[in-house]
Amino acid sequence: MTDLAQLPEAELLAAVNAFFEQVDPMPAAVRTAALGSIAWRTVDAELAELIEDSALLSSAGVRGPHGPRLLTFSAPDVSVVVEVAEVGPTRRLVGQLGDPRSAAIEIRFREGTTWVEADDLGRFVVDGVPAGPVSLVCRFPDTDIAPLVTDWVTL
Amino acid sequence: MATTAAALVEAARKGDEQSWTELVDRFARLIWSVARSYGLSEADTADVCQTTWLRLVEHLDQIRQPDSVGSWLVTAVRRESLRMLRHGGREVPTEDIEPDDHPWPPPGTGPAEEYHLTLWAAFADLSDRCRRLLRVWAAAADASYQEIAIALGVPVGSIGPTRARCLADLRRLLSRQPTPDTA
Repeated sequence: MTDLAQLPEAELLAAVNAFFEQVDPMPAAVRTAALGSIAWRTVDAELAELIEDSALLSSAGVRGPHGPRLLTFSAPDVSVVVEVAEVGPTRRLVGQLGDPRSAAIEIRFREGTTWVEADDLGRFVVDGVPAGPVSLVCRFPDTDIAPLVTDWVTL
Repeated sequence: MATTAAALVEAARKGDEQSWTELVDRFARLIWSVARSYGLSEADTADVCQTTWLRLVEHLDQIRQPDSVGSWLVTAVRRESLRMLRHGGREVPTEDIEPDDHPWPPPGTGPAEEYHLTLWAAFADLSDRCRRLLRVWAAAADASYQEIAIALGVPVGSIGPTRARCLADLRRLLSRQPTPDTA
């Protein structure tokens, strides 16, 4: 049997890689999902980046019950705040657009999308969002305002 | 000569699906390895990887240094892994995890073959940092020092010496193991 310890660096790394490929390979489904993600690309939408996540504000090592999580997404002209509550394997989103205006909100998740209307004050609620990657697209009745797409986040 | 990462990003921006496929194939295992090295379950790691690729898709036009998309991806997956550790994913974590102390072995794995036992035993006795470094480095042998440094959250200047030391530690541990009985 090959004495692993004596292998030159490149071969030893290859053995380590082969070891992890056998013991803990990336599932084919993960690659497939990554390939398919390009289909989610929005064009002509303004990107609202995640600028604040209450999950990262909690002190290190403290892990209490899974309470609500507050996410703030911001684009140059508009922002949206979303409170996320865990309901078993799903999530309840309570959102507030930065400006009080109605909008059609598309909630995108791994397997598909669902829609909800934000009221005149920019508020919306949606239940039953599956846990996993989530992103929102906000489309406004006033077509002069570009649609808003939020960073994907794992909920 | 292999296509540069920048060329792949620029072609993907224009809608070239083959370039997107090449981009995924170039970095997917590295991304998986980084996320997994944080001790996330398979399901949570899959979610973190997927979120990272989706983020890249929406940021494709915005990336200021397309040639450093590898670093961008590693940064993104590291942050998303930390978010997952802090707030949990589909599975409730059973223990607090300090940033420098990641579970080994990766949840749900075990040696499948006899010849794994040697490496398995060696990895069990490596430091946490060396485990993570060697795994990530092995997953992408041409990963830049920058990408490995980001994956580990350490200064890029420390990677050269750390790599050398971890490799030496691995050799020492491998030398220590008796050859497993084949019986």
